[in-house]
Formats: sequence, C-alpha cells, structure tokens
Amino acid sequence: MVERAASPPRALAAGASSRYWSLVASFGTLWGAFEVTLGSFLHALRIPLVGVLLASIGASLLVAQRQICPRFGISLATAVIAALLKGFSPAGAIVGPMVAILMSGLLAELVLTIRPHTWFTAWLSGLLAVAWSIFQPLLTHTILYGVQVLSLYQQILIRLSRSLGISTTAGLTSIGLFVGVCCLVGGLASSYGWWMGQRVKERLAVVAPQEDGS
Amino acid sequence: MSRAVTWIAILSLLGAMLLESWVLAAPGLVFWLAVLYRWHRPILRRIYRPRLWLVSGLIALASGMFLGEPGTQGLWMGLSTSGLVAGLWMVMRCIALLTLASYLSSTLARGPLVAWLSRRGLSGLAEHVQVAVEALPAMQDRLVETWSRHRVAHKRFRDLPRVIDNAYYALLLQATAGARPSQAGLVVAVDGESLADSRLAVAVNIDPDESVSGGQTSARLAGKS
Repeated sequence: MVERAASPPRALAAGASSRYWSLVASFGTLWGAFEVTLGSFLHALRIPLVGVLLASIGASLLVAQRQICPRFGISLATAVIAALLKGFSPAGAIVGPMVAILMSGLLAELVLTIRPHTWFTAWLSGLLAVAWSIFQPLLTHTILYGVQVLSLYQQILIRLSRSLGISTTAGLTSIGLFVGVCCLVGGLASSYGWWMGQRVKERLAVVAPQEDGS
Repeated sequence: MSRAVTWIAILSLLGAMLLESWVLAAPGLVFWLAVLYRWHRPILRRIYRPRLWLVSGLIALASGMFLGEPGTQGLWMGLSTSGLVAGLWMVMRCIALLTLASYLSSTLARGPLVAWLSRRGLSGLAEHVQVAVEALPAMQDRLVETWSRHRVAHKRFRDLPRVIDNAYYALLLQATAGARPSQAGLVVAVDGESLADSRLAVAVNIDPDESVSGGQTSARLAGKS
C-alpha cells in the first residue's frame, strides 16, 4: 500500500492559515504592547486626548498589517488579541479601552475589506477609529442611561454656551471643529501606516527570493 | 431552582424596563439584585465601583438641575422633581443593564461561545491569544529598546520624525518578518526569547538596524554584512 503524501494545495492552505494566525498574534501583541506601555504611561500622566493618540496608532498598525496580508478578518482578529492584552494593563478601568480597541478593529475590518490597498480606505479607517474613540463615551452613556441623557447633555451645552457668552451654534461649531481635527489626525496616522505597510511589503518582497535561493 | 428564579428575575426586569414603569421596575431591580446576591455574587462586583456611582450621581443631579421646571422654594430650589425622577430612572437602567450584561456574558462565554468559534474555524484564536499573552513582556521590551536605539542614533529634536519613521519601520518589519510558523506550528515572532534577541532578524535576513529613510538600495542584509 502506497502512503499518500499531503496534497500540495492542502499543505499550502495550512501554511497560509498558519501565517495568517502568526501575523494576527504578532501584530496583536505589538498593538497590545503600545496600549499597555505607552497607553498606561500617558493615562497615568493624565495627558488629555490619549484615546485619540492610541486609536491613531492602532488604526495605523491595522492598515500597515492589511497591506502586508490583505485577508478577510485579520484586522478584527488582531483587535481581539490586542483588547485581551489590554486586560493586563496596570492602569485598571479597562472595559472602555477594550471596547474601543475592538471597535477600531471592526471598523477597520469593514472598511479595509472593500479595498485593502487603497489610500482612501486606509485614511477612512483611521478617521473612523478616532471618531469612535471620541464618541464612545457618549454612545456608552446613551446605551446605559437611555436617550434622555442626550437631552441632558444638550441642556448642559446650552447653559455652558450662555455662561461663556457665545451662541449655541458657535459652541456646536467649535465642538465640530475639534472633532474634525482629531479625525484628521487619525486619518493622517493611518495614511502613514499605509505608507509604512507598503515599504515593509516591498522590503519583504526583496528578502523572500533571496531566502528561497539560499 | 436557582436557574429558573434567575431567568424569572431577568424577564420580569426586562419587561418592567421596556414598559418604562417605575412601579414595576423598582421592585424588579430589587428582586434581580437579591437573586444576584443569593446565587451569583461575583456579578455584583461589576457595580462596586466608586466611579460608576460618582458618574451616576452626577447624572441624576444634573438631570434635576437641567431637565424640567426647577422648584422655587425650600430644599427643591433650583432642582426639578421631574428631572430628578428622570435621572434616577437613568441610573436604574444603567445598573440593570450592567448587571444583566455581566451575567449573560459570564454564562455565554463558557460553552456556547467557544463552540460557536470552533465551528467557524476560529479555534486558532484561543491558541494564539495564549501565545500573545506569553510574548507581551518581550514585545514591550522590544518596543522600548527599538525606540531607544533609534533615539540614540539621532539626538537632535529636529530628527524626531526620522526617529519615529525608523523605529516604526523596524517594529513593523520585525512583527511581519518574524511572524513565521515554527516547526511546532506556532509563532516564532511572538516567542519571547526569539523576539528579545536578534536571532529572528538574522533568520529572516533582515538587519535590525535597517532604516526606512535609507531606502532599499542602502539596506544592508544581515546575511551579507
């Protein structure tokens, strides 16, 4: 009886799957390390807008990873690992950041699945990740405390505008501008990730044939 | 017995919350909390957080101040009864949702979720989460070490963008090039020992000091240098 070797397509598929999970674990750990090290440090210093910075870094990593391995589900799986690693953060109060990481992964997955290699989708995924990090507290409060909390915040905004001597429209415009600038930062960071991912991909394309030849 | 009572408590609480009735929701919440205290005490830890109560208290107070018509005399001056009631309702809803979500996630995460993940070929996720957890300390060291190496190479402040470029490029390159399946079918890159030294970079013929600004023409290959 002749022993049959594993068929090449099956072996290739197993190798591809292993490579997929390796990249998921590797990038998930890198993102988790950023969150735990840089995130905890900046949170401890009470620096404002740390969430925006971390969301930008996360989106940038996801976009770079997608340039190297444009496979379905990789961004979400990476975010799952990074979120779980965030659970080891010494800073405590981790549920919010974990949800933010998962949502960044989900949004990047949705956007990058359409066109993984284009600059526009890369930019959009960073923008959405940062927008989520800004609006997450508001959404969490709406889910937990109900829609009424929105009218409460609206009333607070109106009173605040009055006490500052500016119109409500001007108050809303300044908030909109602030959110816009933050989202722009996220878009720039993920564009940077796109550019870096392309460089790494090109670099590895040079290395791989030399390795095969050796 | 405990399971049946728990589900009765959940359904009655959900029903009362959906009907938005104070009269039903308040006893429903008390019953639910009593069930948790009797049979599922760890779930209650979810609401033993000072920050949660501080935020909830502020929301209730702010509702009294900003929603509805404020009272004009005595203790209620500046506070609206309808606003306070709305605030308390929001706090009740928050406590109910937090404990319900915590209970459901703790029961679902055990069996059904794992089985569901396995059916969709995601069993590898659990395995690689384990690998990632073990590799996290090494990756943190790598992060700091990579940054320090590139920072030392360019000390001037105006070189900061170049430092960021090179450090980020090196990290991405290492994360990607190192992510190769080993004999055991796991991940070499996130094996703590391999990441912490330069063997990995040599193994994939990449110089750990290579910089993105140098471009590919000037990039030294470790195998050739």
